[in-house]
Amino acid sequence: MRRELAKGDLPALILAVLGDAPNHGYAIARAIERLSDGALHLREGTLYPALRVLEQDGLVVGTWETQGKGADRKVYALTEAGKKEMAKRTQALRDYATLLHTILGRVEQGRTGHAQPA
Amino acid sequence: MHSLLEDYLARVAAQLSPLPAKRRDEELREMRAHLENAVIVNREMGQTENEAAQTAVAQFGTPQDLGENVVWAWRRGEQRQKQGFWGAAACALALSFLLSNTSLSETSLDAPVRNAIVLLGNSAHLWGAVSPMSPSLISGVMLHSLVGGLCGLIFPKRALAGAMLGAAAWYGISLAILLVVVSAEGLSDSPYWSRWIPLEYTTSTLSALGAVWAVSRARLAWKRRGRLARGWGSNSDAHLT
Repeated sequence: MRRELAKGDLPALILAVLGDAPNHGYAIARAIERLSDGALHLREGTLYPALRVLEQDGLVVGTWETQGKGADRKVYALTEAGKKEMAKRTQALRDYATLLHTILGRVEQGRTGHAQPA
Repeated sequence: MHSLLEDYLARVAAQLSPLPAKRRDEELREMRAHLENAVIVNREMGQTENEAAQTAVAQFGTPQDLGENVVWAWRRGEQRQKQGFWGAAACALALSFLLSNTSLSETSLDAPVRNAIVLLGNSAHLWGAVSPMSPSLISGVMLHSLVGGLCGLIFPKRALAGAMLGAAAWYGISLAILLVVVSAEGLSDSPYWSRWIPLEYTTSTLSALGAVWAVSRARLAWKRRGRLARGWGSNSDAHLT
């Protein structure tokens, strides 16, 4: 099932992708889609305002690169502060996912009277 | 470039009209590169030129939503810069007035603060005692350099612009008071009042601005040293999909 990526989750995912290696906007969008096996879909234009906010907060820095053929592109890399923030935000997302799983498990248990597997 | 993409970017550009021209051009340049990449990949997947352009544009989002979000992000940055500018101006003005007057030892300030200010003033006077320069000139330069340094440290990005405003305000008010005093007391023939005091004000202001510039540049350079996280490679295409 394909679902739209929530806007509030985008900065954390951008930081996570850049945590692997510096990348430009198009490659970040493709990485998010590839890592989700196509299940997550984002409006690719929303990447750029999110990247701008991350730049303002000093978490990423963007540098224009001249390409041999094709348009110049702006490549983003994490700063030291961005690396720390990435760890914090990705952990927060994991904790949130675990919490949702726990809640839904308990709801299901209440409904069926059977404990759900972890 | 496909006419569909040009038309799309023209509509986005219209939504980005609140941005300064240079900033708008940079945003559009980045979006153009993204869309061109998307069209190339879509063509490689077997789509026609038209289909590839339509898919790329559909995946990018509506010009209205995109424009709204980009303008919001830009305004957020501007707001922060304005806070830095006015913060530096207020800091420069307030600290200039506070540190200009070392006779604050007789005020009701807390003892540690009062003693620190007196110590700064006395050390400057001590230097002045073994230097041909006037003690008040030395203390003025020292104390206002401290003001400038603090402004540059707290508000590095817009410190110089803001501190210039604060320092100009202090300089203007002080000179106005000086002119009134000189005129009222008939001191215009005195070299001390007509020459050395204005010289002290001018050099103090310039030293404050010099310190703001130096400290703010140093702080930004220090931040940039730690900017890129260590351990990542440069710009090879190996990581790109």
